[in-house]
Amino acid sequence: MFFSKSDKLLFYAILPLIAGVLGILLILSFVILTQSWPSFQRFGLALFTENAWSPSSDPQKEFYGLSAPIVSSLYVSTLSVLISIPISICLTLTLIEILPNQLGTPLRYVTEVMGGLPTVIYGLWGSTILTPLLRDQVMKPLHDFLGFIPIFSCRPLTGHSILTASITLAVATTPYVTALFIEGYHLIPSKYKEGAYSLGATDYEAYKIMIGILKPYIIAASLLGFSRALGETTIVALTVGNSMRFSLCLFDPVHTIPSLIANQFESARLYEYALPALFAGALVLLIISLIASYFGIRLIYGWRERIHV
Amino acid sequence: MYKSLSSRKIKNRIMLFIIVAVSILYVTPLISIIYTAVERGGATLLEAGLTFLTNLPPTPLSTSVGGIAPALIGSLLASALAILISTPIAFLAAFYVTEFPKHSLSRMCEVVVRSFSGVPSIVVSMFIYSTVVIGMGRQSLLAGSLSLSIVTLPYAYVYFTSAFRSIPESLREAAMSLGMNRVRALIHVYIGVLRGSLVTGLLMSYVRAFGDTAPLLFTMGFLMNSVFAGVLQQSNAIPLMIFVYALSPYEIFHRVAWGATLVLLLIYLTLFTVSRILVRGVKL
Repeated sequence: MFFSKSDKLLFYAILPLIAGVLGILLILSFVILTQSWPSFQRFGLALFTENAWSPSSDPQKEFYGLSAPIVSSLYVSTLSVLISIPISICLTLTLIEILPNQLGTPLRYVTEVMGGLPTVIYGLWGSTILTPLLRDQVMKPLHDFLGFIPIFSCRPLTGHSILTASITLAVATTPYVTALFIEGYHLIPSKYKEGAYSLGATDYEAYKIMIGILKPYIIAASLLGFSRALGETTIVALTVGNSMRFSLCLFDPVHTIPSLIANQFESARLYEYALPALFAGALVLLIISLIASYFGIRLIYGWRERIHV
Repeated sequence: MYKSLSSRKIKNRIMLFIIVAVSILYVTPLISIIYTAVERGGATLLEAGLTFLTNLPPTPLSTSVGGIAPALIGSLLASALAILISTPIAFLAAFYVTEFPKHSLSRMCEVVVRSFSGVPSIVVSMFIYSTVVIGMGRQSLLAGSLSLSIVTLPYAYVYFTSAFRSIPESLREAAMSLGMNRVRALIHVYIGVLRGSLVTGLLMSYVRAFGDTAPLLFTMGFLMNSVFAGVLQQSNAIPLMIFVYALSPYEIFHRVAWGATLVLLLIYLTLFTVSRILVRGVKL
């Protein structure tokens, strides 16, 4: 590499900045850890194996367990990613292959608009428009006819539920996942598509081959989408129903970690261990999110290097 | 053995149709969102008129919807302050990583800044709460801006890196062959070439900060009784107000929330479209 004297100066001048950015990340993790420490000391593992939110003015009677919100967080994020993957694959193919530029441009524009749309708008829309629609048109019929299946077994009440949150979340994260898919799709060498067509494949068969090649990238991008969905607060807090219970039934209201934090933070300041318990939840969230996005990014870089040889 | 050609062609047609149909169906939520915002938010705006932007919010017992002035001012200021902090850092980091791509430090920088996008914004909010808010003794516009700046940092970084990568290698070589060092090349060549993308990057980061709720939850406060109290005092933000009012049981707050949603949607769509037009103008 070419390195003149002034370039070296520049290089070292920017160093403190990089160190500062790294420092913020470390301090952030450290602060969250120390703030949650009292709850670990007090409740130990029960914090992650029990499900309870019982604040009390007497610190001896306080008890908190986050097992249900943790499971619900993972459940809702996984569902939303599972919903958004097929939609994103369709959008990727439509935008790149099927619709010619003139017709595809408005669709591309709209997808980008939806990608940057403030999440609180999705949340408000999800809770006032989508919720009653899903309850009357989807949840009630499913419960009436397929109620014997465990995930449909609970009676839908207000409509604010795991299903509503997952769908709203999927609508909001699909543009992000699609953008990643499109980026990956463009990296696939054209020889594969040419090969498929020269063997007489139809368009659909050629796309199937391309998506097959993209599969590792799809998994990686989904990890990034998962990490984003996991930390999403506004949408979930407005649609998931905010109830401290353990349920895998799609029509039940639950709490995710972010929705619990958003709802309880203000009042938690009044109790001795409530705030530390919320910070413990944040710590779990932070660790899972960082791991998911780390592996997502690493897989993407690995795939990029492999695809070009 | 082989399926006949015509059945494969029919399958092809059907599958292509399904793929396009799913893609187009995906857009329906946005149509529904815009329709509802115009219908419900429009009613609120018609009732309050332009004073919706200049009045204080109502109380649960008010008869008129009042306005969202504290939130509007808070959002405008906090987002500006946030990108004032985050975009210079993101810009320098992006410049550094694209200019010295092989260096181990710049690889680390890439990993660290990208990890920031894995930090949930509500966790950032809690972090700023336990440091800045506790330290200052109160929630403030400054704390909200700091929170927003951390959240927008990776976003601006990704944008600037792709802008720097889009500089044609020939321009870079030309600058170097004129004996420029990297700082001079940045000032005299790159910034000129990237003008449009840089403005777009700023604008997109601003839009991002403007629409974000979670980073402000425990940092910004919820100012209702005056329009602006100072940078070191409590403030408010449009997304925050929508969120809090949507969760409240009062009908009048829901009406304000929809009005604020329409305002937010209009601001967002305008800024977004402007930045898109700028991008189109600078394609090399």
